[in-house]
Amino acid sequence: MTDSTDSRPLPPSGEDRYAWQEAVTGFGAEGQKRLRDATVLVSRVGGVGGTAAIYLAAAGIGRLILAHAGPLRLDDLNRQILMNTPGLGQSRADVATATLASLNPDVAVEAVPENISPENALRLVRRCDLVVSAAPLFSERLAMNAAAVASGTPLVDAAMYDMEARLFVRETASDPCLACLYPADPPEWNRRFPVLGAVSGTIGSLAALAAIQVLADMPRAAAGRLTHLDLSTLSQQHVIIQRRDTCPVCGKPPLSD
Amino acid sequence: MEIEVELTGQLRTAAGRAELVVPVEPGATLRGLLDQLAAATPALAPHLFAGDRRLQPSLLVVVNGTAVAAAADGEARLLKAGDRVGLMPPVAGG
Repeated sequence: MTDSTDSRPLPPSGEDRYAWQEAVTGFGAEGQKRLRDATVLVSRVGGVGGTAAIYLAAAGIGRLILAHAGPLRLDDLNRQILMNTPGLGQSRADVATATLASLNPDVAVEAVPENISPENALRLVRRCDLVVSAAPLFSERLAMNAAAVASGTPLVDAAMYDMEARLFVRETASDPCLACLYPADPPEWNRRFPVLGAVSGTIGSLAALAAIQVLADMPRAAAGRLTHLDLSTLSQQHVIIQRRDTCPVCGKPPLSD
Repeated sequence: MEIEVELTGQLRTAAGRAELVVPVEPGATLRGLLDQLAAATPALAPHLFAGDRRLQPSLLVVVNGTAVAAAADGEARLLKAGDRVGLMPPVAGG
């Protein structure tokens, strides 16, 4: 399903940019290798997805595929930390790629100047070990979800609004999918949302962490729960989402390889 | 009796507050609570109900920490004094 693994040995600790993270509980050299061998698709790379991408790159993910259409705008810059002022007017995907390459040239970064759609989702998702879903439109999130379910790819869905944020992880076919939570594109969602970079960055960081935990097989919270954060009070709640047998997406068996 | 209601996302914006304490009659149902909320604050209605007055399919309703299916039986759930209802509309800010 993904690109070939890298057979090079990891550099010895102490000479390695990852020396401080190999001692993280449950991570180790094996976790580092798993990250290096992994490919992650991130859609899009705005406030949430961009933060997820930068921490995945910093941690040493092997390959990142970044899906985001359109040119960079000034009002993106309060939160989109992969972007910069000199990049205004340029392709967001290209600016993001350059930022990540500067941080960690060991990561293979592929820019896809398209937003996720039913037409491209399966083709892109099939190349990945995990996808991070962070687009501001449900049409894109649900297209990513459908492709992830069809291909059996783990999905980390991260979203925010104002001072609140949510995280949802689907790892296996027994977990609910995003369509169990959002059965259809909800017309009541307002595309223009209030956002502080520190809030989108918070959930983007948690999305990166969730992705790393899955890919490196670290101890982690159970999948299939919606974690809701209220950052105005620093409170959280975990809501168990029941998988719906009648879900039009995950109620069907995944594609066979 | 009184029901604590937590509003999140665009519901919180529409109501201008995060929490409400709603007085309801004994025997009130979840649907009745939502009807009451929409009547008291019309700005909440589009986030609670679709055009045909069914619950919005993507509205997550949580009662005492557990998600309740937005189906007829979920709406008919009887509320008890002290119940805490969380209303979580869809969120996709990225």
